[in-house]
Amino acid sequence: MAARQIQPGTLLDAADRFLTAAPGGPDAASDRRAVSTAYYALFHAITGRVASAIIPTADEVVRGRVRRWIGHGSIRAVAVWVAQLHGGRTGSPPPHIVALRRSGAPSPLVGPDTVEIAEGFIEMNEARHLADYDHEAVISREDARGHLDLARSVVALVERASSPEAACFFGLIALQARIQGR
Amino acid sequence: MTTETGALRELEEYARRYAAGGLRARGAHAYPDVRRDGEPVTRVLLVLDDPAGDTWDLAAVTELRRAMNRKAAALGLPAAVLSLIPSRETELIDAMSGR
Repeated sequence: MAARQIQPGTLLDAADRFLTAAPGGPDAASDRRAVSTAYYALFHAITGRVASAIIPTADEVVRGRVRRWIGHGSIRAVAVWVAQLHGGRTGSPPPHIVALRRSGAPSPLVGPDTVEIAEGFIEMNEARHLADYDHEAVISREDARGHLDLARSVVALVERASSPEAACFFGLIALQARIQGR
Repeated sequence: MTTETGALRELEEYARRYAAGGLRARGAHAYPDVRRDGEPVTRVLLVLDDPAGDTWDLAAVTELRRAMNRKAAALGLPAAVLSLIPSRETELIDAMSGR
């Protein structure tokens, strides 16, 4: 069954193959698909970590079904909080998220790995929106390649992140998600 | 010129002066947009010097994005989202100019 699970690595390889097609064209279809596929590699890498955090002993099939409950918006919300707490984005998380920080201590969400994961996810999420929905988007082959490099780097980080901040990050995404039929 | 228009022009000027990590912008166009989820963003099309290889250095691009976001925030603009175009892509630059 494991071979049928969505694997971030195979998605990254698929994105790479899109970038061997002839570049450009009016709709830059290959470049758009490369960016979108690279984004999904990162998305699924994160859902994998979130499911492993909440049901670590469940088998891969069960974890795969639980992963379907984790939406893009849930990950994005937590990523934006990290970016805001780190100062890389304007605005502030809701008071109850800010209140997780004890007086004089850094936020339990903000560490070098979570900042890189959060910023990378936000960037890939933006790029995927452009690639998938914006008919006027200008997407160069070089920018698409850069996004694939970014996704590859952040997927690797997601898969090896073991800090307390990373545990908090994946845990809060789980709490943002909702048990639902899909 | 509205405050927002002035801020967008200032962001473009900041981008054109940017030179770090081997990246240098040759042209910039910034405009307001709204994501499908309703969140406002500042789209920035940037023409960069051609990369030495297939793309630009990842760390340098990450720092460019951070710098542009810091500047956008300082100008009171929504988060900056960059689209990068090499100067050799004249067709894309023409598309960008038509905006």
